[in-house]
Amino acid sequence: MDDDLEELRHLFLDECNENIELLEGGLMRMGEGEDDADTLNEVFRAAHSIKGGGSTFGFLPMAELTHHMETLLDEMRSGRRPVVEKDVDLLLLGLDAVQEILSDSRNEVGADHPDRMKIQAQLEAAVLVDAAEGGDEGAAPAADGAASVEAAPGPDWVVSFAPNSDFYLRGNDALLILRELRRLGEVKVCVDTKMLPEWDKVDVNNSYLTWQLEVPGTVAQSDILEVFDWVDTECTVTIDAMQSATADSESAADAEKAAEAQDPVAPSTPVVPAAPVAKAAEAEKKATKSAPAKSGGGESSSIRIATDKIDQLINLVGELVITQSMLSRVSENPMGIDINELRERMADLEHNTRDLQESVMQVRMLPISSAFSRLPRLVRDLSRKLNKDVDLQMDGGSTELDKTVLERMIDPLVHLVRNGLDHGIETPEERAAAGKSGAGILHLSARQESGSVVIEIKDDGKGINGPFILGKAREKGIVGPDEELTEDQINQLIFAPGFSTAAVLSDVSGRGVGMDVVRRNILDLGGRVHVFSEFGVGTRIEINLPLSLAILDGQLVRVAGQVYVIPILSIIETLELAQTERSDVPGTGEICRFRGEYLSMLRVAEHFQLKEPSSGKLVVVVDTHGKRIGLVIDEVLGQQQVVIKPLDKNYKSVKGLAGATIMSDGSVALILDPANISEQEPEQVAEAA
Amino acid sequence: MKDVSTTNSDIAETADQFLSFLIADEEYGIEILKVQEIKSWGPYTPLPKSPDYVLGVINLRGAIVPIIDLRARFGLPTTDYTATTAVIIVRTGGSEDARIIGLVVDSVSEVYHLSPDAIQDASDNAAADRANYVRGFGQIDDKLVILVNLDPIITQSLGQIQQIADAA
Repeated sequence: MDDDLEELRHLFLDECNENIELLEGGLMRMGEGEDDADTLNEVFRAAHSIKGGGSTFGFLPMAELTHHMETLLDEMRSGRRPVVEKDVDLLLLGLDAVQEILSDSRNEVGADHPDRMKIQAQLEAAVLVDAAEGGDEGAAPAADGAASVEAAPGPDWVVSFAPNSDFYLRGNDALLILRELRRLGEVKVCVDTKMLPEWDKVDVNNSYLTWQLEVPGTVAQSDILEVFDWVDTECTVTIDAMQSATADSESAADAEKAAEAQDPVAPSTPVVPAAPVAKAAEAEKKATKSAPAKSGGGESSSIRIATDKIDQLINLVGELVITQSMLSRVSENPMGIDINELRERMADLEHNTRDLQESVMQVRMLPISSAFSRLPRLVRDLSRKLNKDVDLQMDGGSTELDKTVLERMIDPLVHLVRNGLDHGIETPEERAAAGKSGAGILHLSARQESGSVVIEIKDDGKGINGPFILGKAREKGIVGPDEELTEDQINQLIFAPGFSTAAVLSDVSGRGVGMDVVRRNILDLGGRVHVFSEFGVGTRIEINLPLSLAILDGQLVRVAGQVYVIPILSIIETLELAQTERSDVPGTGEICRFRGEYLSMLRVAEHFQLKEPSSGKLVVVVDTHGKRIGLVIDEVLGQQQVVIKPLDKNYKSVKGLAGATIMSDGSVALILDPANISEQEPEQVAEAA
Repeated sequence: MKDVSTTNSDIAETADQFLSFLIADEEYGIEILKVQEIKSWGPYTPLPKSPDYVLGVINLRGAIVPIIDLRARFGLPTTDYTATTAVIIVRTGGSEDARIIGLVVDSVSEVYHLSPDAIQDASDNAAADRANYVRGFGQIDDKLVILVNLDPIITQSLGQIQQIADAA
């Protein structure tokens, strides 16, 4: 039982994240003036779902907060108030609080946000103020009614409640709803048995009864609606004030007509609110039905897979089964095995297997747009804070990446965009002085290039001031006073730990920790990051990421008789050792000159204490944490896609190894991890053990 | 071996069964329920930066399994691997930290039935260093079989490896 609940709660949290994304996206569009009914409905629905789920699962503070957001949204949705930026900002603020509560409550139910009451009060004030001054007169009491329970008692409500025929089949119970209504106040119940067939024709699973309920006017309409919250797709409910109610025909359409008719006539009676809310409920019903299940990219451990991807898998497995049966037919041929047919079938099998592998990998792939989608908000907030005008452009959002890679790329992306905005793009005045257009352009793009995905972040800001950066780096002791760096190396300095050029520390950037972390994250994923910049023109940051963490493109090399795999993405170049200029530096070890820079060398055979002799004829130059090192190996073999198997499943992870893989002959080959192979391991300890 | 049937009587019957193996002419025994399978000796991939008794890793139907040379683990001199050298694949740990590890032994010997009263507890008479690994002694006719406690052997091996990793 507890497990079931836990599972449901998990589902709810997943769904919440999805809804938060929807909400945020919708609010952003609203802020940009896109306030059509679809957007508003989507936003409202998302808020509503969070609220409903929140109260069910005991996140009461969150439910209360979303309730207030919903009230404001409802006002906008029903056209009683215009969508203004101020309100959108307020709603975004509320959303942030909801998000924070949620991330807390992953462990704990009932978590609260310190600023919740303040935000709620602001939301409430916004509803009241605007409704009083701006909205049309008829709407004023409606806002009141919806916002607070203590509204002046109006006339009694007439509620008609007609469950759909499959109401009980879906696990609902009309009795519970009636009881719930009773809790709100004295309710007069009148049951309509007209639809009831003769007893012998009654299907116990069907619903035949409808009810007419009279609820006292002291009860807020929103409270009545809330009772029907969870069943509103399974029944027809209309709520009307007593006067406008006629005894039986109470369809939503009628209520609407009545309301429209009354709107101009009776501006000050609190009768009017009934109609818009009922209408809203109706609209919502339709909307819920047609709402497609969107796949989102939360950070949960579950994954939503498009049905067509699964169908494709099933298809391929079907083909595989057919090929297998053909193969067994060939092998069981009493006349002897037809070698040509066997070859043909084997080729089929190979084909099937490869397709299947590709499709299975596809299951873990998500479009990068789910990471991009949170950037517009960031850019909007930041550019406002920094008084900059920024035009964010994004393309290639449909490029797919492994889920894990994608999740771990979100923070680095956010950071790079932040950085571009803070350091790259200038203020409008500076831009005007430099002869650039007022609005800076921040361009994000993603594309697939053979085995890797390239993400590019480009701005047309001031670019990297090489000499200034170098001076700063010398000052901080990151670069020695006599060390000469190439332009490229200077650009890479922005990723150095402890390096920040911002004159004033802001809460945006400038502490010099972020970029270092960005690079580390990317390298940990087996990717690479590169900076290109032209002073005064702009900066371009290019990130190369592997498509997947489970499979990698590997270069097979031989060292002392053993085959090792080096990830191709980290290889820069392979040289012959004999052609390099080498020298031994005491304390540093062997170094060699490579394209004008000095590389430290690592003899893999010695480093790994391999017993077999090693010729060490070749140097593979690899990129590790922005520093390059040369790995001395014996022989370069082929290139191959390898499946990464972790070492720590049955053993422990080993420094310098990213894992192991199984070669086509069944033997195990170890995968080198250039990112930490050079990290010195005290050999004495290994010997002592 | 995976399909050891799980009716109660079977478990009761197999619980006191031990697989015995030889190392340097000494007979050792391990609980048969921990044994997944026995493989013949074959090529392996050496693992750098590990203690010398961790020979390397092998491919066990797609899983990367480390193999431990019990001779070296027990501090005995190593010999050449012969046709009788075998790798006993054992499963250790609970459901969460389950590990599959191969133990290299000189040869696999027999399966014994040992009732609890035929086992002499080792806690008070074995050398301190080994006490952990030795669970007790089984008396079979005139023979003595050293019953080995697998979990400490393996967790301590991994522990030492962990220390190396931490020190680095």
